[in-house]
Amino acid sequence: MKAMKASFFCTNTYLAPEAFARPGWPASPKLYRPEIGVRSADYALEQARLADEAGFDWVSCSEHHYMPLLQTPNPNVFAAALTQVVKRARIAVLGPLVSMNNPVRVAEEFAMLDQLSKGRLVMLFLRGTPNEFLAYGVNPDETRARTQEASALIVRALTEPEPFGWEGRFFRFRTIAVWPGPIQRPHPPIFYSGNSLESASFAAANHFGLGMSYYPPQMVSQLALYYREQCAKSGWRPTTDQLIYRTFVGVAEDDKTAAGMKERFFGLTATVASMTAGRGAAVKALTPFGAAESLARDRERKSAPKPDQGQAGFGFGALQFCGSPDAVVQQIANFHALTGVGVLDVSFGGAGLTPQEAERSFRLFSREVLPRIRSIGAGDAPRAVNEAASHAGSGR
Amino acid sequence: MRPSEGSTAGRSAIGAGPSALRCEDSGAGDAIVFLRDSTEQSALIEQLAQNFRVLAFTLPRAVEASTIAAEIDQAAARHGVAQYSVIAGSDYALAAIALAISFAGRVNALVLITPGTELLAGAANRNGLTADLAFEQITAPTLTLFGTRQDAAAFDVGRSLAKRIANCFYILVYDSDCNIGRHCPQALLELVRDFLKRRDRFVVGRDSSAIRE
Repeated sequence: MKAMKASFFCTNTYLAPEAFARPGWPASPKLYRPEIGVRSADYALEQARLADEAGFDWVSCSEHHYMPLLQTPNPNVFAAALTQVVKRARIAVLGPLVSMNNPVRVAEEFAMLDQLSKGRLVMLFLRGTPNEFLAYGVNPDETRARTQEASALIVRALTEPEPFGWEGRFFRFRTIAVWPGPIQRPHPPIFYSGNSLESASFAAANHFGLGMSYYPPQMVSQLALYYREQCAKSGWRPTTDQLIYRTFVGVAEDDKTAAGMKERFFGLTATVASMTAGRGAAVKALTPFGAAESLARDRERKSAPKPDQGQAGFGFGALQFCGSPDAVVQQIANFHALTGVGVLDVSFGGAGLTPQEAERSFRLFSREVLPRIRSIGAGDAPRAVNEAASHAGSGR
Repeated sequence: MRPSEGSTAGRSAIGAGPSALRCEDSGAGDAIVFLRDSTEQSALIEQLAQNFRVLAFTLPRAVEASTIAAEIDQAAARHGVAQYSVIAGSDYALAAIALAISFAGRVNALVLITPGTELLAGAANRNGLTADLAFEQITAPTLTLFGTRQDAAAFDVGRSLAKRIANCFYILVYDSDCNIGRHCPQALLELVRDFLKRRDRFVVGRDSSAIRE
């Protein structure tokens, strides 16, 4: 088995609190101050550089719109900047909202990023949160099908050796010939956003890795197991580093200090509340626990988390991994044994924590956690992880 | 033998050659020689006949491609058709290519719907014939269509044709297998009709993106 990997989620967060004072989506552009904007980008790129130096395996970014928390409406533009400061780690675009972008454009940008990074790109096809569908006026009811078709088209665009055309349900192009081509052949590693059973099935059928985010470990375990089962039906077995989990981490010198951080951390609670307020309330609220409900129903797992155990949307508010370095290492080891996930995509800041606390978490994680999680999973027999996942998934 | 305009179809049996071709003649306009095979193509023929004159041939099996091509061209001439486009499904792709090569001056455009792997060098078709045709000699604008759910070998055919035919448009129809007419009939009709109308300029977008005029 491959050793555990860590990815630093670089959010390019706006660094002035007044932009977060009024909840609701979208955030008013009048709150944006150019000098803060410049400082925010500089800070984000410096954090990425430090993460690279510290030994993080990947540095990631994602597409989000109209909010100061994640100032990466075009993650590929930001990733291009990352390629110039991150010299060793992979550049993971997790990912563009392929449901509402031009897929050929996305493929072209991916190819450029693979070129600029000299073959270090990792890509994920993301559907998006419902409020974000408003950004480009896409019908929310079509976004799943659009995401699937766009994903197929992007892969084709990156791999077809001759010019070709595409006649689909949502996309029509009579001539496609991506140039430059990807450096990694046949294409960079591909992941699919997989916070639902349907997405996990699609990922498995297409031999994509699976990206999950913010779910509690038990739910991650169930989804990962389901994904593995679907992969087996499609005749292949994913490696552990084809499973990504995005979450928050808080590290302090001792458990008591960390407990204080955990208490004050409000995670995505406020973020999701904000996304589903204002104009964001116009679309159906996030219901990611449909996955858990289906799992619980289909498998009759009494231990499956209930939808009302979390916040609205996928906003479980807790710092998933929080404590002293020793404690966090143990938590990650337990998580890996439970889920078989091989890549943690982590962020440290915001959500009730001070910038100083976030920087301390980052520093401690880099120095005292990251080197030690390298051994997690390294000696696992494949069967052991599968059995652990199966056991966890069965709720026994 | 040609039906009057507005009539649905005229049938004829053409027994001049050894193959006893059968032909249905329908519609009006620029002529299409449609080599129909076992797949469901009646609807496509009927819809194309609203814009084109369609000579739909039912061919015998196990006939050498160049022989049948000559008979088809003669049959078209007997229908008073001097210039035509050719459409073929997978079973008769070789015959269609032979037509496009042997009668290059008369073939305006070529459409190959999910042509099979017998077109690949060294492969043999179901009749035991090999594809020793020089695709490079095809001068007519050519459209080749494949479904994205076909297996990898199909795309090798498409890439090979795209590479070897000077003016070949290689199109993938999303979420279809080899029977595009059944899975995506509207997409098939629109692609073929647009291609036969505009040929090389088929790649130029014509759909308006204006929200309102």
